[in-house]
Amino acid sequence: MTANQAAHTVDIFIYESNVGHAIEKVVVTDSDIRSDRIRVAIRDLEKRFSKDVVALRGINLDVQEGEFVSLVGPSGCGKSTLLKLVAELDYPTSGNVARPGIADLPGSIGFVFQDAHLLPWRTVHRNVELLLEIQNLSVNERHRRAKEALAHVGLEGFEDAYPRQLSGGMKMRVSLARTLVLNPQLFLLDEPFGALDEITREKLNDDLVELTRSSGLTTLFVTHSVSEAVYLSNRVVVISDRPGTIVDEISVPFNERHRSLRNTQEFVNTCAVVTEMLYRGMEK
Amino acid sequence: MRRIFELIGPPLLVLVIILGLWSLAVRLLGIPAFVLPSPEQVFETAIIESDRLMSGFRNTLVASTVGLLAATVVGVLGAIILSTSRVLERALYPWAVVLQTVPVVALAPLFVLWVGPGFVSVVLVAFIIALFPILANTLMGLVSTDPALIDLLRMQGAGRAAIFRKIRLPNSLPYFFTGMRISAGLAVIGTIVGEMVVGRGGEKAGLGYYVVFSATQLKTDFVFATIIVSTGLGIAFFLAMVGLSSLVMGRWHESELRPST
Repeated sequence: MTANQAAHTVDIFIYESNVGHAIEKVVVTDSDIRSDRIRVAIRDLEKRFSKDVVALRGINLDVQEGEFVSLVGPSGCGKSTLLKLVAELDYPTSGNVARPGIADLPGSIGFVFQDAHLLPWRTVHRNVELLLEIQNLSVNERHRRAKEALAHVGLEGFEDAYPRQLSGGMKMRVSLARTLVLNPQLFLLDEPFGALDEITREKLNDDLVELTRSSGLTTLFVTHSVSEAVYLSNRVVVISDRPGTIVDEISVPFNERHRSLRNTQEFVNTCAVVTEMLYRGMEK
Repeated sequence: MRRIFELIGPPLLVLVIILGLWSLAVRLLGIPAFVLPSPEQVFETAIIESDRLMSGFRNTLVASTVGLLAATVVGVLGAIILSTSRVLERALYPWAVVLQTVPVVALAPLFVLWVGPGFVSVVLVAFIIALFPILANTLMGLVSTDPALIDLLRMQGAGRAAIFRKIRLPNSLPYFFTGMRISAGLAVIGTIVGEMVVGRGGEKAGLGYYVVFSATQLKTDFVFATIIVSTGLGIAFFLAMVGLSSLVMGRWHESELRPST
């Protein structure tokens, strides 16, 4: 990267790996904010479950390559539905979702659910291999990638454990590894840490920052926690009460993520702004 | 050793007390042996009649096993077929329930009429009575899968066959074994009912035949001995299923976890 490009940087996040032996930088420059870097394009999206139940209305949203976008909203606002529409697990009533530059192949989209959803009859290692088996990879290749993914989420030594032997946080790590092993181009997470205790949640937040930033993974993250959204994201999109519409959005101004960030005035202020938006969305 | 004693000690003590009271009651009240024989008499008869009891045990064991195996094969295949289609399930499942509620004792004479008073009739009764728990439980296991997991696999391009193999089938295992535990006991009961109705004596006679045979001759001690052997067979069947289920699912399923005390 040249000095000139760096001068035009609109949003830099420098992340320091928590294992401490590598500093990786992912820089999004203003030249990146071009249409050919759009990875998710949602246009005039509406989703109705019945004549009277409108889940989402008039949604327009672009997600850039390498961007981490959080969707925040009250429960039942349709944010999970939006994620499912992006994953094509469900289809819109009108409008459309395009994923330019994301290959229309199995494995290009990684989806993580609210709970770990592991197979209790499989070991940790075999759980991580599950989706690779669908792709007809060789046994050796599957084994290698699963091992790598488990190391990535800090679960070395737990390969042969069964899910019942793991804590909630560890189960969620296995769930993350099971998806990351696919090397997805688009990473969708639906309130993955909602059921975890606060410390575990914060630890996993840090890990998720590392995992997504180090690989420049385009990520769409659904949560109802304002501070989690602000901590993780480059951009927070606030969704209103049903029918879900986009109330507003905010770019998160921090470059680095570390535990003490949560105590800074700037962080607290940003959370307050998002909370204000949430209230606006509920009073509409 | 101590743990084993702690486990079987209390029920064993209860057994000893009951046998003692029973023996005492028979003596003190002067109950005639054809009404209620003393436990010693039952034991004595069991020794004297051990040849017939053993061959009866063997015949009942074989018929129960065949009936249970047939019920397992038909039950699992039936569950798989019903799980593939809601329409099929709606059309056929109610009839499986009806089959379950028909009194098997009433069906047994029909089987004798149709296939003759032999082994096949006995096995048919065991089969019919053991079929439903396996079918119903396995079906429940096949269809009650985590929808998120199905979504996850579909997203990766998995077809029905892969989802069946990787999710539905293993998911049904605990349910299947629940069915097997119920059916194992039922298959023994079905066989004995079948043998009672078929009434085939001689070396092919099962325990059910000996119950009827000895009761009509007022050999109440023999009846008791037969009932005890039958119960033993039922328990053995049940334990075999428990062992099999712990062999298959011991490492992962909650039902197989031992308390850590």
